[in-house]
Amino acid sequence: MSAFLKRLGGAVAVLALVLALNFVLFRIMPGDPLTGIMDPRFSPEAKRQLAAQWGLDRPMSEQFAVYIREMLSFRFGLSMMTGRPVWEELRSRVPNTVALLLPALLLSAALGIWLGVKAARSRGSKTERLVLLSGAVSFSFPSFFVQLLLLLCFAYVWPLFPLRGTSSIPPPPGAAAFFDYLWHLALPLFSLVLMSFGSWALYIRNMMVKTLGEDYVLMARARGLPRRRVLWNHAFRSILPPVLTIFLLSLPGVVSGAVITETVFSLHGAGRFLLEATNSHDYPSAGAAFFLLALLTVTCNLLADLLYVFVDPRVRRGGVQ
Amino acid sequence: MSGPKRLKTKKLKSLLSPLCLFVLAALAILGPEALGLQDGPQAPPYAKPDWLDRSAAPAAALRADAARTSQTLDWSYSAPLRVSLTGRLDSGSVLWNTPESAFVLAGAGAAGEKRELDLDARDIAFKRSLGVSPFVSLPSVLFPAKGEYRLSLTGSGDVTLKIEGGRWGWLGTDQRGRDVAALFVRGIRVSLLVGIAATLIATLLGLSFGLLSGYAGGLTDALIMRAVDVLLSIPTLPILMVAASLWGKSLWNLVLLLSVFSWMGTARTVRSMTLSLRDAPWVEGLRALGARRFYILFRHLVPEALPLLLANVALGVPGAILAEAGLAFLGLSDPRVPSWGRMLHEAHTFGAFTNGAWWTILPPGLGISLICLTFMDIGRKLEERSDPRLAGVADPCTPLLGASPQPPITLNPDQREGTLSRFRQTHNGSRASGPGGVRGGALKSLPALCLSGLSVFYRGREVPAVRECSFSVSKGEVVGLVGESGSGKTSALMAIPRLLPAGTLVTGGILYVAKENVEKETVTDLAQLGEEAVNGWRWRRIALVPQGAMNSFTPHLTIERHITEVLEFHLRVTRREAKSRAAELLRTVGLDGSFAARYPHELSGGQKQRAALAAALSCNPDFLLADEPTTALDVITQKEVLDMTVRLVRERGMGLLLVTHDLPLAAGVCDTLVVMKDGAVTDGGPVREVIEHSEHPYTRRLVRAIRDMENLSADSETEGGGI
Repeated sequence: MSAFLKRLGGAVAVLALVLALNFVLFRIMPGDPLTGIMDPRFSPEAKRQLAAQWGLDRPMSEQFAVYIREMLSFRFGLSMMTGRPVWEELRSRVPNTVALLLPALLLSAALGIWLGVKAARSRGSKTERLVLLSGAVSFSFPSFFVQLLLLLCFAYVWPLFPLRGTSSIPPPPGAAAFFDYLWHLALPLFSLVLMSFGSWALYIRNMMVKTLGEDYVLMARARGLPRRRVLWNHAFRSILPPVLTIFLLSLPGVVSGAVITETVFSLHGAGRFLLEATNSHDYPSAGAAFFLLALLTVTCNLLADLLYVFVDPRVRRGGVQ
Repeated sequence: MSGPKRLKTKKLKSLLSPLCLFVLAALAILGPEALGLQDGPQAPPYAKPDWLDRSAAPAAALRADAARTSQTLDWSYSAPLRVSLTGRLDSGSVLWNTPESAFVLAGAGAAGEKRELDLDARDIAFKRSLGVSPFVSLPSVLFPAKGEYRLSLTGSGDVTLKIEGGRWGWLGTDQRGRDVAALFVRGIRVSLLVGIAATLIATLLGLSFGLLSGYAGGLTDALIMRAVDVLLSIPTLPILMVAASLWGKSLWNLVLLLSVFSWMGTARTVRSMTLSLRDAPWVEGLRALGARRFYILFRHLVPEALPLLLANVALGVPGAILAEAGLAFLGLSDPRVPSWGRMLHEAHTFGAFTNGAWWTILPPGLGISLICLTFMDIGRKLEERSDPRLAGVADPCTPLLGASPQPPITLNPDQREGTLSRFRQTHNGSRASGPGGVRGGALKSLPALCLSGLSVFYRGREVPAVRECSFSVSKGEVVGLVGESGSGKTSALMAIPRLLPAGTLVTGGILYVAKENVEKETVTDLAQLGEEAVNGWRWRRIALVPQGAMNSFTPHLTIERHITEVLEFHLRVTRREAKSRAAELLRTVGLDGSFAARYPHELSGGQKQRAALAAALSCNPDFLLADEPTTALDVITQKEVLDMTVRLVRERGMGLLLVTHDLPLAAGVCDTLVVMKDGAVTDGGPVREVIEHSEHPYTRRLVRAIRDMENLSADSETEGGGI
């Protein structure tokens, strides 16, 4: 338990570091946020006024205090890009991103696990060759290229899916809006699963191949248990702790995927918001996005530690031996 | 495919990726100029590749000058996209003859002065001088039909008519009319440069941090490893995005950034390698000789790590290339440097889709994929070379769980009857003789297990592990299968419940003879059953007590669950009933109730062995196969566990096949002995007969060895008593 408290302390320290870095980094970036929102013909007077309006003329210490207050209260201040509160901007985008990433991650992990276990069980089979191939593809094909190809095939040449956007403009009324949303989400979701199930499958296959050589798997077979039970309840269950850890640790990483996917499909999501905010020197928005990203990373790390203890009895109850 | 031919294709395949890399590197060094490709706008935007649409107008140029006043062109396409006339006209005029009419494209000035021509078909003035409406596309007027066209010059000058069609070059053009093929070749340079440079720097960083961390230890190690953890857990792309806009988008910045975020894996590998080498005997020896720390590090540890590092470099390149391409695709790269990611960015941003210009998307994307696949392949080969164990993994093995691929050579019904009758003829206690004859116990009571001419061939080995081996175990009989290590006794035992690795060839019969009633006997050849069918015999009739029992329990299941699982599955009892039976079984082997909820790692070796015995007894099988059940235990526990096993087996009237290399141990508890050597049964019979009257030289040697030991201990005892 004290080890966990230690980890918690470390996580808080990392978050504090990210908060401080966030503030400093965006302010030493070349380029002035005001030039983005201001006509160059504005008078110096107007420029000063604008700076005052955004609080950029205050001393750094005061700016920092305001920044910390805004961050910790999750209000994040006003976006310099749109002039609306960052919190509102995020509220309209984050659900879209979650609706895209979570199913994608779950589906690709599930598909990868199923294929990986199958490949390990019957080595040299077509399934194993498929797993090796899809693994190589997911490690060497750029995701945006595959997504562009999918767009080209299924949105341009054979227009089954929309070319861009999160919903039709204007959105259809009533329940149709929901299906419209799903229709827009389908191709991005499919592309994400297509690009990531291979690495899962390869990873699971490698671990399962090792596990299937263990004595306890042989003994489970000797007990006359059905093949499926041996495979899943004995072999797969014993690699569950590292699999869960990898799953949780890969969560923050898929945000990178969100930036690219949302750019390719022009989705209204948090990833593209992050890109736009970074490009237009929108301190509050980019800061908020990074803070949330750090929070997600730290939470997932902690959760991974906790879950590992929960699913692995050797860690949970070590030491009697 | 024949053997040599397959070898040849395999060799060719292994040469494919180095060849591919060589071609790419050559193209990167030579640049597009070597292929006669030019940078800059060449043709109309999104012109198709030349070979794609033969009916589209190609690019062409007609020239007329003093030496050659006219040039003709055979035209069989639709109208071109752009037409322009450039050059110098000294006198006279430029004529354009189409199959339908003739145009005066340009005439010398009124006063006959020289004129510089730069006329484009899009100019309204040009259109009006030809008497064409400004709203009509001039190229379609100048190219009305198929046929022969002629550009001619009356007077003197030098004019060129440039025709820009809808197709251009090998790969068409992009949104600015640049040659995609030229851009593609330029892109190789960036990808290779970024990929290799970033990975090299990252590897150097990783090597230094890893060596430092592993060799220095202590606080340095802790700090570096903490940094590695933090860097590994943060998502890289967003950080790179900010950093790229922070420090500018130049190529070298990108290389530095990428290397800073990708050295962690190498550092970890190098650190663990250093740790394992630091305490290696030869390193300690060097230290004892007075070698300096850095001398040891760089003269001995680095060369040791080099092959792995090389593989790491090759395997790291795809990651760097993909990261660069990703950033460029997001627009975070130098717009002046054409790279594959940039090409895709521009294709996506500038409407390649609305033009259906797939040729701007496919080449860069395939290029990135190809280069990454190449490096992955090379990396994996290098890895295999540095660690040959990995090579085996790539070899497609046969199924681990499942039937063997070759049909086993089995007994036909006649052979089976013949074998059984031989088993029956050798009556209790009498020993058969002659090669291939039945050794060991004859059928005393039923059910009985008879191995008949059993041979085991492991995959890839010519010599069988078990050769023509025949013996039997009957109900209520304790048979000891003895022999030195490697004599094939474990293989013979594991063949009975069909648990040998897949791909192993088992020939002969494994006959299970049961008595249904007084008259009727049923004989099943286990060797002929499929995997699912054997499951009906495993554990319910033939249970296994594993060797050592160290790793035979699934680590995440409690001891109790191992027993209740089989009870619930085989005997279909309720969970509650199973639990109470499990507790009872554990009590039988001397483990109290507290053990039920424990996990395997919480038990000692002896406790695990007892638990394994309890589990084996759970379905009340007819036979117990025990494979060196006590080897891993200390002498006292060994005796306890073995005595308990034999006692429980006798109480329940089971048959026990005890595999051991310990002849005295077997002689003490068994009814019958079977001696194996080099995979074959050499001797067998009732214990007393084998020990006292065996004429087989190997058995006699074994027995003599025991006698010597007994004498020795007897001597030492008498000596001890004397003092």
